[in-house]
Amino acid sequence: MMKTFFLLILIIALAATGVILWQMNPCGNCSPSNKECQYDLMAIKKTDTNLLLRTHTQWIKPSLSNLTALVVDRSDRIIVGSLYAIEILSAQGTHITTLPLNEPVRCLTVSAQGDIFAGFNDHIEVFDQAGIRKMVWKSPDPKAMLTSIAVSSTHVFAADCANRIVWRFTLTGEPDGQIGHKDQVQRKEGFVVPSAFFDLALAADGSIWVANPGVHRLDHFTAEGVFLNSWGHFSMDAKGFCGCCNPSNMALMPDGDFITSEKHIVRVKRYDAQGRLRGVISGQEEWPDKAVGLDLAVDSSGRILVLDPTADMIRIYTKPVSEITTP
Amino acid sequence: MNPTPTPQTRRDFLRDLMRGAMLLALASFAGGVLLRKRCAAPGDNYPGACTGCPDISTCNDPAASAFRTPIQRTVWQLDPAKCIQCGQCATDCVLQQSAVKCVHRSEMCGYCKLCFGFFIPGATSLTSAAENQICPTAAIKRKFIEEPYFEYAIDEPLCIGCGRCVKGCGAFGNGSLVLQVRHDRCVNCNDCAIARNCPAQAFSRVPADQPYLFAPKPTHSWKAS
Repeated sequence: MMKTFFLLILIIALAATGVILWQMNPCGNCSPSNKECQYDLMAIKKTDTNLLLRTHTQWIKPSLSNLTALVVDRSDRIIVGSLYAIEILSAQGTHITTLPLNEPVRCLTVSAQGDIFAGFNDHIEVFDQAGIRKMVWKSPDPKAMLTSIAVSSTHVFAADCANRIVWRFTLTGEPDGQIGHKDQVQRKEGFVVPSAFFDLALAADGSIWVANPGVHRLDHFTAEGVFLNSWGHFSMDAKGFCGCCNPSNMALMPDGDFITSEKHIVRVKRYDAQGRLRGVISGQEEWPDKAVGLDLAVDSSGRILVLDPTADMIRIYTKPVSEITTP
Repeated sequence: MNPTPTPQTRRDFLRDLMRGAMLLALASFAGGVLLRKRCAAPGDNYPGACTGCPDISTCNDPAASAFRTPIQRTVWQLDPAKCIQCGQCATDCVLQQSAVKCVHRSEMCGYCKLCFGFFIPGATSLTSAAENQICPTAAIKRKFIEEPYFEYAIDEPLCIGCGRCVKGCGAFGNGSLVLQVRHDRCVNCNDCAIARNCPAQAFSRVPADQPYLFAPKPTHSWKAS
């Protein structure tokens, strides 16, 4: 009887000790077996299939590797930049020519005349259609890091993520003002750029849209730099922009719609001209987790081209043939 | 007639022994000085002179072996490039509070208002309220700098090394938060309990004079360029 009693006391004491030790665990409830303590990123990154736009996908494989920039010219030729060259491809992806370079291209644009403007770390160089270097512009600031470039009939605009401003140049490369400084009313924070993704795009009316990734917004300016409006908000779901700083890249469709790409939760989305989400073109499921720098371009037929730096390819998204309506 | 040899007294024996030992010590010292001089003067023009090896530990001269440094001391460290932030560092260490802590590389930080190393993904507001924080022990301190920038600092005594902040920062930010074994706490067990169980095999021994491992700065970070 006594033996059973002592055994019972011993079991209770052991159980109590276990509970006390569990409570004293310096990690609290945070153990790998505790599901509440798990931080499940996959659940957050999952794409809502109801938002997926039906698209047909093609791939083009340029001959270059380490791709960094993408643009489409007026005749729908595809131009890609890499660490040490620029390659020109036909709209179908056939190689046309390669322009060797001495340093990495960070961004590209093409003028209406077909001149190729390449943004390097701190300066811009201009090439003609045949790839002959026409001009090397003076750096606006040795600390500059140009991440996006656009050209209108009168000016060149270059986004500089290090100085967090947009430089405006004349077509001959003379600095002609800056866009996006802080003001005390509408843009108190100015551009917030935590990482080297700071994109801009030229609208059909000559105004420019600039991504403001740190505040998850797209800001709209006149060509003279007057702030007009903005749209965008943070959200982990597809309606807004996720992470610390998105969208990382953007492009404008011929009809005024916006195409955006994001890092962290890798997704390419389409918004209407007022910033309302139309749908997701490509979700995280199609991309490696660490895919960043999904540069975007749109051609005259509305094809959406997305640079895939992880595979050194260009993905082309088009509407399925059955959904294309002729006017 | 041979003279009878005088028996050596104990005193004489000890005196000879001491003299021998002193001579041996003196010879060793002189040899050492000579060899050090040879290795310390590259370009000396005598046979066997030092040819200019960068340090004595790599000298090919067998005579130099006596002056080589002993086997390099190593310590445990975790490679952030391999770490999957499973959370086991918080629980597997033999210490009551793990020697693994979060380290903030402020040179890579975006000073974001919305920091995913600080806030849970569904935070209802961007305040330091406990329900918004991802850290189970509130070990990250958030300080306003100027709109919209905030500075983040790790309160190490509170950090348990669970890696939730590291996971959030890596997944949604610049990846400036990393887990590292802190050598002011680590007792450098022969068989590290965390290393034994690490599912990513991220632990290894590294030279004690270079005890920290940081992932290379990402090329897309302008701060890193």
